[in-house]
Amino acid sequence: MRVFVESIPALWWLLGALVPVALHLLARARTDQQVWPSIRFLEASPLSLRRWATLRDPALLVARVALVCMAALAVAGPVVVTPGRERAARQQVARAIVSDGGSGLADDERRDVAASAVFVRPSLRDAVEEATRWLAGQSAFRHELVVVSPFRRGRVDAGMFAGLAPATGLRLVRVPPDAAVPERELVVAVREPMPASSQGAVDGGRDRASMALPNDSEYSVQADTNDGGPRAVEEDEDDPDAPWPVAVTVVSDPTGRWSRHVERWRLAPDRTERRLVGETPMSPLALTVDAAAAAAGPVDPQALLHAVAAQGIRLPPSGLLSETTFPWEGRPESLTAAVAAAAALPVSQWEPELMSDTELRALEREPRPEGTPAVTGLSDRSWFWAMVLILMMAESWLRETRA
Amino acid sequence: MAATARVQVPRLANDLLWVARHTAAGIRAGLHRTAAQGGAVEFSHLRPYRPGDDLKHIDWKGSARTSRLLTRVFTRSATHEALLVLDGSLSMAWGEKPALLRTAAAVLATLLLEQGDAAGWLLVTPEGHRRLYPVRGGAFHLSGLVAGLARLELQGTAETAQLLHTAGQLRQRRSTIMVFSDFYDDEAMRPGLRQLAARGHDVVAVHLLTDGERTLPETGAAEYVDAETGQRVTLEPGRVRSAVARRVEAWRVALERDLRRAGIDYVQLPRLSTLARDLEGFLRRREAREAGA
Repeated sequence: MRVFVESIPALWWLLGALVPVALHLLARARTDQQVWPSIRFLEASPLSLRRWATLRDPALLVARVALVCMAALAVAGPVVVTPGRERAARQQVARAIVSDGGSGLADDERRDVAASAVFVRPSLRDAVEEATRWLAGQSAFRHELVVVSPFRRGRVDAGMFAGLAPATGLRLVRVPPDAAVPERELVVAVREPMPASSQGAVDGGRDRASMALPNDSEYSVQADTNDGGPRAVEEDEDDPDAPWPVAVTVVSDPTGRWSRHVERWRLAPDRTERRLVGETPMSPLALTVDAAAAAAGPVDPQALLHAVAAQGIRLPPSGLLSETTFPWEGRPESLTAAVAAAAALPVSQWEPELMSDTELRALEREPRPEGTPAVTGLSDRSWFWAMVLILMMAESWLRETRA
Repeated sequence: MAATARVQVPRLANDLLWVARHTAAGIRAGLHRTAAQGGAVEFSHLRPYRPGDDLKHIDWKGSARTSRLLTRVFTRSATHEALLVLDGSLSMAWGEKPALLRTAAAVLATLLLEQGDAAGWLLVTPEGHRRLYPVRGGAFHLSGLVAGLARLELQGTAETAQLLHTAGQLRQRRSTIMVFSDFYDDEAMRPGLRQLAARGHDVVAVHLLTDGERTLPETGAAEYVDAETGQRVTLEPGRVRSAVARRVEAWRVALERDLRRAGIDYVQLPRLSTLARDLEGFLRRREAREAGA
């Protein structure tokens, strides 16, 4: 059995026990014992002498030192770890679950743990960072981060987990990828900054742009450059006969990083309703349209990507069919070409490559015990305060009886 | 240990004897009279001859001048006896009081014996045993008496009332009884003292109340333990010093007044350094008082 305290700095209050000891020694030094022929003419002075007498009393000294020590321990939040408590504490795990799909599995992971939380964020990196902060505040014996995801390539990398404590475990649980993106759905990523030549107008710090698509549809594209989050695009379709499930999503990324999240919206044929189809963690397909190539007409996606690479634009490690961007020059022709090229691709090629199990296992690690088992919720502070109360009464009784 | 004690005691006794003789000589040099009025051969006055007077005491020259027979009168006989009653309580073992007790008793005994009187001392042990040095006269007796005083151990005493009762039993004849005490147990002692005085004894209360016990020391708070009862009291001398001094002086004055009213002579000896002067002053006052009477 051992005892630990929740707040080590509070143990400095133990130094307060030196106060009664010092007063005791001072009082002993100041009050000698004198043999006197007769004390019939002597009488004690009232209060101060009683105070000095009580300071010199060894029993009172013990009571006062114990009182101060007990109070200091009570402030520090003592926990008496009995063998039973320790066994229970060693089994406790604080688990943060970052869900990138497979919510049922995330619920399973929450069972039989001391504390758990599920983080579902558009950006998997943000979710991991938030989960890391949450884990740091937990006092369980072991900490574990569980990421539930299909693990498309580029979605997860070792740098995401750099902020995790060394003892925190990491477990990657693969779930099946979401259903394939509908064939007619189009996702386009736009790389910021928006060029000045676009039809944008600065309005309250927001760059606003609109464009017209050649198939008799006019899409109003709004890009928000003030924050880093993805922005949905409002369709503005004039032609009611246009294919209903067609949607355009524009993702802006004012920080210059690659967009990690895409929202897909659909506009109803009657234009009375706009519906969020879903959130795609990573755009299944993004095309980079070279302005010159777009001006020449529909282009081969491969050629587009090669053109992008030639312009020094970074490509994600998954290569061809992964997220990328295209520097939109603000000309509708560019978007036309992009849409046409995207529509021409088979759905199977929209699917990004998944990370292999070997890669996932390389990232995983077992949770290690962190210091002492955290016997949370079992603070014996109240017992120590009760002892303080008892000691106060004992000290008072001794002071009255021995003064 | 016994051999060592035998060696040490005579040395201390000799020291005490020397001090007593030296002090007594100084007192005599300034007084020429002793605590006991007159000496064995000391002339007092002339009176007309009465039939039966010893012819050797007739002052022939005076008789020739006045044409009538005159007889020399001497004040008293040389066999006046004095008993020194010593309070051996533990309070008397405090500070310089043991030395003051031994020296004062030795000086007075020297004065008595060297003028031809008889002296002895009495102390009652806590177990009730009497330690008595018998009342006798002579120079040889003085050295033994002083040696006994030097060997005296103050380890407590029987009740002071019993001490005085024992003294009264011992002295059936009228004597001078000198009681050496600090009189802290005065309530118990007063009846015995009055009884001795009422029986015609010349009772002298020698009050050994030193300066050290009249004024609290210049120290911080201290726990004062009664030398006899072991009772304790904690006090800060600075706060009560003047009050205690007033209280002790008031008690001493009241004690002196009550004793004098009872016909008991009183002298206070506050310190060893002024012992000779204090005794001389006391004897002068005593002589003047007796001369006036």
